[in-house]
Parts: sequence; C-alpha cells; structure tokens
Amino acid sequence: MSDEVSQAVWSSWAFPFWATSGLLAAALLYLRGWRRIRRSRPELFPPWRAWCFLGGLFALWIAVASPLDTLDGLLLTAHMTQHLILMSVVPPLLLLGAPAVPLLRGLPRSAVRDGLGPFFSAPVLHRAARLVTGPAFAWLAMNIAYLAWHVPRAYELALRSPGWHEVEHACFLGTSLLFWFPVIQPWPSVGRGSRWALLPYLIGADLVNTGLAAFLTFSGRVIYPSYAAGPRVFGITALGDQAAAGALMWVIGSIFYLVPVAAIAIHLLSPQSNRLALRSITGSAKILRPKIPSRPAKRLDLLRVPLIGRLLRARYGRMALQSIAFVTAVLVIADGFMGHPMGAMNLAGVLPWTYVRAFGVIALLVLGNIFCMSCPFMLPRELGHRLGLARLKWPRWLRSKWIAIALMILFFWSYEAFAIWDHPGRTAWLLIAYFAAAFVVDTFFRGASFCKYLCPLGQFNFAGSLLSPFTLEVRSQAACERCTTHDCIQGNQQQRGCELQLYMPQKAGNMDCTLCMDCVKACPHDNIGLFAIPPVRDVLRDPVRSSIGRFSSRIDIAVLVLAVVLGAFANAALMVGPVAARLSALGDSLEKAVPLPLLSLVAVLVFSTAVVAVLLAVALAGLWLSRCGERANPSRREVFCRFSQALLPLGLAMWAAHLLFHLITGWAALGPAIHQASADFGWHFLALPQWKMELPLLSANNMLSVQLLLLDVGLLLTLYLGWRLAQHWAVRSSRAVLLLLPWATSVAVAYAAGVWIVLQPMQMRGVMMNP
Amino acid sequence: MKPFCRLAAVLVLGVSATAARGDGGTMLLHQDAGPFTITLFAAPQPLQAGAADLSVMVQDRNSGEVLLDSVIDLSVAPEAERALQQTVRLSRGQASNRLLQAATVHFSRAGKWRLVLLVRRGNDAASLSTECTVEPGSSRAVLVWFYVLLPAGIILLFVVHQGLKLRQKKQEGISGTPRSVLRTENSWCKPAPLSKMNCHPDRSEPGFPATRH
Ligand code: SF4
Ligand code: SF4
Repeated sequence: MSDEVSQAVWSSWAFPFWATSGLLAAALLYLRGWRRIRRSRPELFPPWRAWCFLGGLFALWIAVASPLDTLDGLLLTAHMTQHLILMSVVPPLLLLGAPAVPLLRGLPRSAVRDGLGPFFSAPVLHRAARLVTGPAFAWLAMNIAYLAWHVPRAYELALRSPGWHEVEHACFLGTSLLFWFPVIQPWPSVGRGSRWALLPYLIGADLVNTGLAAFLTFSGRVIYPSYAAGPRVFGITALGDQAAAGALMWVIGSIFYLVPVAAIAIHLLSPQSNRLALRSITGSAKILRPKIPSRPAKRLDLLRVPLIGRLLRARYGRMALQSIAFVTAVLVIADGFMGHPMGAMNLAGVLPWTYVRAFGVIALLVLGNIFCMSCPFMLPRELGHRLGLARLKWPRWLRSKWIAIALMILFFWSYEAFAIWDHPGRTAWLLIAYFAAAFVVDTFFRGASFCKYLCPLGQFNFAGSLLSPFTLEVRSQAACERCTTHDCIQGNQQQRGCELQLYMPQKAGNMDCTLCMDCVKACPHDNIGLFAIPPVRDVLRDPVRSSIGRFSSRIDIAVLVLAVVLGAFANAALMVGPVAARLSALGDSLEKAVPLPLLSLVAVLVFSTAVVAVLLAVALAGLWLSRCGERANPSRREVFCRFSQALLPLGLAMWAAHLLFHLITGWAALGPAIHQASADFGWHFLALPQWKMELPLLSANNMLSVQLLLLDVGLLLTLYLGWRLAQHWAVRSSRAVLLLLPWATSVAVAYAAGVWIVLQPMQMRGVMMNP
Repeated sequence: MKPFCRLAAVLVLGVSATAARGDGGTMLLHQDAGPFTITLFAAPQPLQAGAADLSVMVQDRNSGEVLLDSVIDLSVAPEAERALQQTVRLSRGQASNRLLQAATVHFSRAGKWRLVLLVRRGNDAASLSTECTVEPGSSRAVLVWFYVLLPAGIILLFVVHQGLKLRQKKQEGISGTPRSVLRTENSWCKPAPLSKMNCHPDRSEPGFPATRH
C-alpha cells in the first residue's frame, strides 16, 4: 500500500452528528452524576469507573466514526473488527462504569422524579426489565442477534441500506450490553443464581462464536456477495479477506470470552477475602445500597460564573453594549436614507430584519431578554432623564399593556402593508420614530414608562422571556428580610434602583424585566443572582408578582401573548407562496373600491378579534364541559388568561422556525451589505461588494427538520402546560381532560397550520436572488 | 428501581449506537474502462428524486492499486431530456472514505437517468456510462411524517406516564404506604404539586415591606 493510500485510509473519518452528540451528552451526564455520587459514596465510584465508562464511549465512537466504518463496505475484516468492538469491547467497559445511577443522577432531579419516577415504579416494566436482564434471555438474545445478522440475506441488507446497518449495530450493542450484564453485575444490580453458572454461559457463547468464525475461515467460497462483486483494495482477494475476518473473530472473540472465564473461576476458587475484594469491583446490592442525599441541588447562577458574571455586573457593561447597538442603529438609519434602495443590498434591510430578529428570538430561548439589555433606544431616553424634566407619573389608567398591544398589531400590519423590510428608508424612519418616542416619553415621565407600557418590541421580549431559561432572583429571602434599605428598588447614591418597579423579593419570573442589572448593582448585600430555571416554570406559576399581580387576572398580558402567538403565524403565513398569491389576487380585485393598506388593516383587526374570540370560546367550552354536574373553582377570566399564556411555546417555536429560515438562507448577506454601505457613504477602505448567491447554511431537508423539530417542541410544551393547568383546576383527571379537549384541539389546528406554512415555498427576504 | 436503572442505561447506550454511515453507499457500477477499474457508489439506494451522493473509486486495472489523483467528471441527465444535463467534478474532500471521490447530484425528477463518468489521469482517460432509475422522492414525505408523528408518540408515552402516576396514587391511597421504591428511599421521585410550585414563601411574612406601587 502506498503512503498516499494509507494516508487516505487513516483520514477516512466520518463525524456522525447524532451519534457524536449522543455520546458527548452521555459522557457529560455520567460525569455529572458520578461527581455527585462521589460526594457521598467515594468508595463506590473510584476514578477507574469513570475511566471505564468514558473508554467505552470512546470505543463506541471509534466503531462508528473511524475508518473502520468507512471501509466496512469494502473489507469484511474492517466490518468484523467494528462488530467486535461493538459487542466485546464497548459493553464490558460501559458496564464497569456502573452507569445506571450516575446517568440518572446526572439528569435534573425533577426530570427523574416526575418524568421517570412513575415508569420506575410500574410493576409491568419491572417485570420486563427483570426478564431482559436475566441470564437466559440475555444469552439467547445476544447469540440469536449475532447469528441472525450473519445470515447472508440479513448481512447484505445491512450493507445495502444505511438504515438497516444502523439497526444491525444497535442490535449488536443492545444485546451485548444485556449479555455482559450478568457477568459484570454493575452496581446496584444483584446477582441472580450462582456465579458458577457464568462459566458455561461464557463458554457457550464462545462456542457459538467459534462455530461462525470457523465457517467463515474455512468456507471455500465468498459468503457475502457484495464483497465478491465490489472493488478489491490493498491487494486482498475477497476470499482472503473473509478468512482473515473469520480468524480475527475466532482469536480475538475467544480472548474476550475466555479471559473472564478464567477470572471468574479463579475468583470462585479463591479464599473468601479475595472474593470480597473482587465484589467491590462488580458491587453487590446487599452490601451497597444506593443512597441519594436529599440535599437540594445547587442552582446555576450566571452572576457567579467567573467571566460572565463580571461582565454582566460591570458598571459600564450595559452602557458598552448599548453604545455598540446605538452606533449600529445610527449607521442603519444613515444607510437607510443614503444607501442602496434595495432592501437586500442595504444595512437597513439586512441587519434588523434578517439578523437582529433571529438572534433576538434565539437569545430569548437560550438565555433571556438580551435585546432589552442592549437596547439602543435607552441612550436617548437616559439623556431625556438627565434633563431633569421627568416629574410626571405615568397615568394610572394607562398602566397596562393595551397601548403596547395596539402598537404591536399596528407594527405587524405596517411591516407587511408597507413592505418595510424591502424599503430601507422606511426602516430608517421607523427607527427614528422609536428614538423620538423613547426620548419624549421618558423626558417627561418618571421611571421606565416607555419600556413598561409603550414599547411593542419590549412587550414582545417580555412575553418571550417567560420561556427563557434564566431569571433574576434573590439568593436568600432571609437576607432580604433583614435588609432595611431595599436598594434594589429604592436605589442609592451610586446606583438607581429598578425603574420597572420590580421589587426583588417579590419579583417572580421575567415579565417586565429588561435585564438592566440595576438591581444587581444596587443591592448592598450581593443578594441577587441570575439563576437557571426550567423554561416553562414562569408560565406554570401564578404567584402575586411585584408590580404585575397575578397572571390569572391580567387580561392585557394574556392578549399580549396572543398577539405574539398570532403574529408568529400571520407573519410567516404572509410570506409563503400560496397565501401571498391569494392575497395579491384579492387585493387586485378589491383595490378599486378600497385602498389596500386600509383594507389590510381592517382585515388584521377583524382576524385578530376573531381569533381572540374563538380562543375565549374554546377556553369557556372546556370550562363548561368540565363543570357539567360538578363545581369547579377557576373563573372564566383565569381560564382564558392562563390558557392563552400556555400558547406561548408554540408561538415562539413558529417565530424561531420562520426567522431561522431567513437567517440560514440569508446568512451571507451581511458582509456584502457592509461593503455596499461603506461604498455608499463614500468610505473606500472596503472593497466593492461581491454580490453572489450563497448556498444556505443548511440543506433544504435539514432546514425543514430543524423547523419541524422546533414546532414539535413548541407543541409538546404548550400541551404540557395546558395539561398541568387543567389538572390544577379540575378535581378529577377525567374533568381535566374535558377541560383541556377544546383548547388542545385548537392547539393541534395551530400546529397543523405551522407545519403547512413551513412546507410551503417561502419568500427569500433579505437575499440577493439575481446576482 | 434497579431493573429500571439497568434498562435505562441499556436504552441510552443502545440509542447512541445508531450512527450514519459515512462510506460511499451502494455499488451502482463496477467495470474496467481503459487503464482503470471504476466503481460507482450511490446513496440513497434506490435513488430518489432530490439530492443524492455519488462517489467513485478509481483503481489501476492491472495492479488494483487505488488511484487517488485522477480527475473525475460526472454528467447526469434524464433519458427523456438530455438537454437538462448537469456535470459535476468529484472531489475527495466530499467523501468521508478518502479512497473515493464524491459529489452531491440533484435528480430533479423520477424516471430513467443517464450517468456518464469521465476519468482522466495524466495522459490516460476513460469514459463509462450507465443508466439508473430514479424513484419518486419520498425522503421529504418521510421526514415530515416522522416529525409529525414524533409528538404523537411522545404524547402517548405521556398518557401512559400519567396513567401510571394515577394508579400509584390510588394504590397508595388504599394501602396507606407508598409503593414506589424510590419514594421509600427518599423524596426523590415525589411529584411536586402545582400549588407548591406557586408558593412564594416569604412574601406574606410580617415585617416584609409591601410593594410600593
Ligand atoms: S436590596 Fe438586596 S437584600 Fe435588600 S431587599 Fe433588595 S435584593 Fe433583598
Ligand atoms: S429587576 Fe428591574 S432592575 Fe433588575 S434587571 Fe430587571 S428590570 Fe433591571
């Protein structure tokens, strides 16, 4: 074999995405659980266990990602080596890591308690688990799978079809894990029967292996036709390759069976003390019972993470972010007025609508309300504040979300009616209007009236942040009890308090929080943390929230969430081919009578009202059904408000699916747009833009998978929230089902609409189509 | 719990084993041409309308040695409309098996297609053609069905989960003692009632300042 060819072989690695991610996740989960158990049971989980488990995962990865996998279609020897690793190396190593408890302890406690707990306690599943891990079943399963997959028809099927090949591997690994289970008896399992029985158990398996290996080695013909028909590499004939593969199975396979036979025999024949020593390797449930400490789990506090915490708390950290955003906004406005008139070739068309929107939604889902944290409109309003004219209080009767909701609907409508995304000048005017409104309102009114009651963008982010995985909370309520100054809300000489009127000890969730960190900097006791929370917790709970009250009594917040959800579907639907074509035809036929923008405004208002009415009817229908013959306690307002909020995951999933499409198809637009802008400004330090159509970051099928997966997660979370709410209200589960049914049906319809939308051809906004 | 720990571990590890194949796929053609032996692989098999990975191995006809430096062009066209021919240059970078050269080809429709391979190396050149049948694309439909049925499967599992929970509650109500092994050991799997999640323990304690707005 020439150097070049051997180099090619060694560089033939595949990186199977799902397998690699799954193995990495398993490794992290195990290590997390292993560290936790070691705190209470260091003698049970010495480092070698972790090394064994990680070694097993690594061997598994080698089997599926190394040249062994890429060459298995050409060389039977490579294929057999791969199977040998899957069946004889990976399972014992994994089981020596005693993975069951560490993997479970690595999961969030509530996931194990509420999610897996009921399954763990189900007798039928106990019986099934007992059956499959029993020696008889395990021996038969492994040997039958081993022989069956070596039957030429089955083997050829696996060679032909990647899907069946994966099934074959999963069969080998799964049954081998079962096979090695009685041999290793990983903690906390209990041995069944005498360990003497393991000797015929292993020797029997070796005999099966020897029989098959001998058949392959001494057969005078090629058993698997694919290897005979395919190209021969490295100068080995198909028959020679087959004999080598058989010999490999025979020798190495036998070592894997016979070494444990010898070890077990020595162990059984040795004095009692040695036996106990060996027992500490395999473990015995009688001596070692699992002990799970009831200490509350430590929560992740981002403000205590070294670098991130310092950045978030830095005195001028937020201002630095805002200044960057402000300068960017000024450039966008300037380019909007002076730059290229086409949206796809102008910063004002590309930056806000392709990038900022998509990253804003991603940030909401993975971190929190980062947009408000770095909001550029804050700087002029700070200036307004400093003029010292802010003496007025925001009128009490306007302290709700209604104006902001109206502005949000107006924005959704004008975005489409005036094609703002395609007219840089209009985008620039919109930004100027925003700056002016923030400046005027906060010059005359105290606090953050603009953010709290007017800003539609802020309300979108507040609603979206109800699903964010981080929230600001006090670290110790006891410290707050002792606190006499309450600087988090009152402020002090150096730092103002919360302008959004959120009093930390009573703040619950992210609603109205701009993540400005003023409270964090003001608190003299360093008592505020940015904690990780389960993403649906905010919607599930209904405490009295500081400056907000209970969600169940805030119809305006419910309608705000509905506007966000409806906006997601309407905004995406208006961009897909069939809807756009229909609307344009309708517009053509009606425009003679009524101007199109007016017509569409009326349509938006009628549509929104109709959807709110339908949802109200649906929620009430469920309530009526569940109340038949029984008194139930929730009010209609509560049911409507909280069911509406439970739609948020589906709505955000639709936003994410839609905006990610634009980001992934238009990802390459920013570079040329910056070059174009610099040319338009007359700055010639950048070269003229190279406008060309770039391939999307993901292929069409992968893009669709991501979109559908997002919708699936949104649907499931929405239904889960609905079910928890119905369970909370209803006296019995049957009533909860009745209460949920009409609402769940409307959720299913919305999901179907979402799937239909992502399957349609969508306008590629912000992308140059004809270079 | 113990049998379940075992089963859970087996399942987690079993699922991790499913990996995509990274080699050339199924053999479509293996033939001598000029000084070369050329093998064409295709994935998926059978070929379907949409994107497909085609990869080629070129070997020396006499020695069987793999030739890595050959230049390979592949032209594909529907039999019915040869004018729609597309030609791609294969490269080793696109193949996970670096003994092959590969490219992604888009079959725009189902039906009979003609594939022409042109292999050049130094002064040697050889051409090979074959016909293949492309079936109507089902990968998108399969994908959509998979993702639509996925939540249905999870909902079904959730229904079973809730049923088991209910049964346990009932049994515990009758016997007065919890059945769950986990529960007897600790409070690990005790479900938190929604009312507990709602609690905000200190907000109503005396001496705590009322919200001032
Ligand atoms: S200033 Fe700090 S300690 Fe005092 S009430 Fe606010 S969060 Fe609690
Ligand atoms: S609670 Fe108030 S001060 Fe603290 S980050 Fe949120 S908005 Fe800012």
